[in-house]
Amino acid sequence: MNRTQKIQQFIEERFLVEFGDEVTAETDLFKAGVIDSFGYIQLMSFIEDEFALRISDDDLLANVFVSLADLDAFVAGVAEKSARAGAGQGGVPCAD
Amino acid sequence: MCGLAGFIAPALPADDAPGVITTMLGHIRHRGPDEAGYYLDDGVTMGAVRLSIVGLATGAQPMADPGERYWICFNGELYNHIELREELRRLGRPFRTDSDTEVALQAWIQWGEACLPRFNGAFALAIRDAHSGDLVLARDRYGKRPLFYTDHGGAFLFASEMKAFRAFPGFGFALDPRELASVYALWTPLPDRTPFQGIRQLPVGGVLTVRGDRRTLRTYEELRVDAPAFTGTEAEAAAHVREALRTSVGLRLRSDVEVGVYLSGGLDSSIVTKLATDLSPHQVRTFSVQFEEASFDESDSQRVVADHLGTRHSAISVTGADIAEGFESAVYHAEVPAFRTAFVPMYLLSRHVRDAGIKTVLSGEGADEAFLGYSLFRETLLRASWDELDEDERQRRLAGLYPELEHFGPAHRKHLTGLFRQFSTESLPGLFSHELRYQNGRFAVRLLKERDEPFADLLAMVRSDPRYAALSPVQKAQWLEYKTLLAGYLLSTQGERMSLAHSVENRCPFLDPAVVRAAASVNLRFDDGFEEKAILKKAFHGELPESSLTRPKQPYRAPGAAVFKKQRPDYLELLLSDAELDRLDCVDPVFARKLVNKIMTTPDEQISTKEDQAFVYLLSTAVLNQQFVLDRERYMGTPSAAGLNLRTTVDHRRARLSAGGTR
Repeated sequence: MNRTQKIQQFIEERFLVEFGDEVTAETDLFKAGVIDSFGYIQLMSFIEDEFALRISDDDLLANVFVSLADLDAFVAGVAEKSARAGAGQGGVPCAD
Repeated sequence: MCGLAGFIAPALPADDAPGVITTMLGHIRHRGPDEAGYYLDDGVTMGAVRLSIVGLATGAQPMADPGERYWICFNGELYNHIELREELRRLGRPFRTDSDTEVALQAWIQWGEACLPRFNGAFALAIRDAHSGDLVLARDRYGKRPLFYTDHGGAFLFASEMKAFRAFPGFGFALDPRELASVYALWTPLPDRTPFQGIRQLPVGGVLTVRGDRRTLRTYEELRVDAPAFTGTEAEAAAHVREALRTSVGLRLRSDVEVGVYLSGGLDSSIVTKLATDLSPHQVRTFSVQFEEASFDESDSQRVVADHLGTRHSAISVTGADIAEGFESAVYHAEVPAFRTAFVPMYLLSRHVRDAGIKTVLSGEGADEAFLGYSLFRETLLRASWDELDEDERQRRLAGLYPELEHFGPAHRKHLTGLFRQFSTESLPGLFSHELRYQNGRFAVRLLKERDEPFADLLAMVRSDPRYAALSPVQKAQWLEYKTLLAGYLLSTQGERMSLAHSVENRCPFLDPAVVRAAASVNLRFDDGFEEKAILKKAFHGELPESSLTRPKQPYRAPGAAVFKKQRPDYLELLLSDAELDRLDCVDPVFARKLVNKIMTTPDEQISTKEDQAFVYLLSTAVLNQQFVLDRERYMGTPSAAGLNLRTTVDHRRARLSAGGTR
C-alpha cells in the first residue's frame, strides 16, 4: 500500500467516508463535514506516527491540510526534503 | 401555564367534535392537569387543559368576554398582567376574574393584534371571534410556548403539542427528510418547522389569522439584537442591568402558588436565585441536577450558592442508567430528534420538582444569548479579527475558548490554529459565526437518504430580515442563536417540553424584553467581548460567592452515546437490528450501520463529538419513528380523554345541530 492509499484508508475508516464521486481527494474535508477539530488532531497524529515525521509548529501555522491531496503532498514534500537534506525547516523526521 | 388544541373541520360530523377535542386534550393533559374545557361553534372547536397558577379559582378556560363574542384558550403567563389590567380598567374594560387569561382576552378586544407587543410573558393563544368567524393564533416573541398547526383532509388542526393531532380521525405522522436534514445540521428545526411532514409551528413572535380558507401569517415583533450603546459609565451600566433583572425576577415571582428556582451552579441561575431570595417573602426552594460522572457534575458550585443565599436546596443525582431509562419518555415529550441527552436530566428534574409540590420555577435560560455567554461568541470574535491579531494573541484566545474539550489543550493548540485560520473567512454567506458548527453538522446529515443543501432554508430566513446583513459578526451570531437554538432546543426540547411533561411551568427572567434590550445596549461597550458576561459579573460583584463570578463557564452537558453502549436499553435494538433500522425510511442504512458499528466498537474517548451527536440523533429519530409513525398504540396509548377534569363545556353550534345534527 503506498503513501496515498494509507492516508486514504485511515480517513475512510476513521471518519466513515468513502472517496469517490461525492468526496474526492480535493474535497475540503472540514467543509464537507468529514472531519472536525478532534478528527484533525487524530489525523495529524496518524501522519506523524505512520510516516515517522514530526510536523513542526511552523508547518502547522503555515498550512491547513484540508484535503487528502493536501496531506499527501505535504507528506511527500517532507519525505523529499528529508531525503535531500535531512532535518529541515519543514516537517522533520522523528529521531525517536 | 396550560395546553391548547382545536380544529376547524367542516366535514367532521357535528356529534363527533366533543369526542375529538377531549381526546386531543387527553394527549396533552400533562400540560394542565388541574382542569379542562372546550368550546364549539359552527366554525371552530377549541379547548384547553389548565395548570392553575394565577387566578386559581376563576381562570377556567375557554374563557369569553361578557358578550360571548370572543373566546380564548390561553397557554402561558402575562407577567405584567397587573399593569395591563389597570390600564384596561381605566379604558373601561370589564373584568370578572383575577386571571391573566382574562387580561389577555380584554387586551385583544381593546387593542386587537397591537396588544401582543404589550405582553411581557410567555404565551401561545387561540382567540375565536364568533361574529367575524376569525380564529387567531399567536405566540410570544422568544418562542417560550409552542403552537403547532397542520392541514388534514380539509380540516385545520392546531395544538400545543403535535401528539394531540393523533386524536383527529385518520391523522397520521410521517417524518420529513428535508426537515430532518435541517435539524441534523442546525441542531434544531427552523422556527416554523417540525420534523414531521405537513406540520408547521407558528414562528416566534408570529400571529396567524384563519378566516375560512384564507390564512394570514404575520410577525408582530421582530427580534432586535442591536440597540443604541449605553451612554453612562461602566458602573451605571452594571446598575442598569442589575435593575432590569431585579424587575424581571419580581414580575416572574407573581404567582398564586410557590415559585422555585432551577439552580445549576452557574452564574445565570445563581443571579436568578440571588434576586429571588431578595424579593421573595419566603425561603426560596432551589432544585438541581447532579451527575455521578465528575466531568459533568456541578454539585459543589450548587451547594456553595445555596448555602450562601440560604435556600432550601434539593438535588437529584442522575446516573447513566437514569438517562437510558428516561430517554424514550423524554423524546416522546420533545417530539423532535435530539443531538444530545442533556434534556433527559431536565425531564427527571421536573418530575422531582413536581413531586416536591412545586409547579412553577425560574431558570437562567436566555442569559447566554443576551450577555454573550457562549464560547461561540468569543470564537466568532476571534475568527473575525484573526488577521488583526498576532500569533501569541491568537494562541491565547484559542486557549480560552473550549477548556472543557481536551483537544483544545496546550498539546494540540497549534494544530487548531490552522483550522481556525481556515474558518476566518466566510464560506457560508451570512452564517460566518456558525460555520464550524454547521459544517460539522453535515456529518449527521449523511445519515439521511435525501440530503439537499441543509442550509438553504436558513439562508433564506436570514435574508428575509432586512437588518441582518448590517449586523456585526457577533450580533449575527446572537440573532442565529435566538432564532434557532434558543427557541428550537433550549426553551423547548430542554425546557418547556421537559418541565411540562410533569406539569411544571418554567419562567425565564433573562428573557424579559427590558433585560434583552439592556444587554444589547451594554454588550461590547464595556469589555472586549473575550470575557464572557463581563458586565453581568460586574453587576453582581460582591453579592454572590466569588467562585460563582470567577470560575470558567461550564456548559451544561450530560453523557451521550456511552450511556447507551453501557446500559444497552431495549430500544437500542432499533439501531442494532438491521430489520428495525430498515424501518427508518428516511435513513441511509449503509452509513447508519457504519456509524452504529463504530460507536459500539470504539473506546468512548475516541468518539468525536459529532459522531456522538449523530448517534444520539439517529437513536432519537428511531425512537420518534416508533412512537409517532409506526407503533403508535404501544407508545402513545389508546386515544382517551380519561382523567381529564372537564369543567367547562360550551356548545354554541346552531346550524348543524338545529338541522337535526347534520352529519
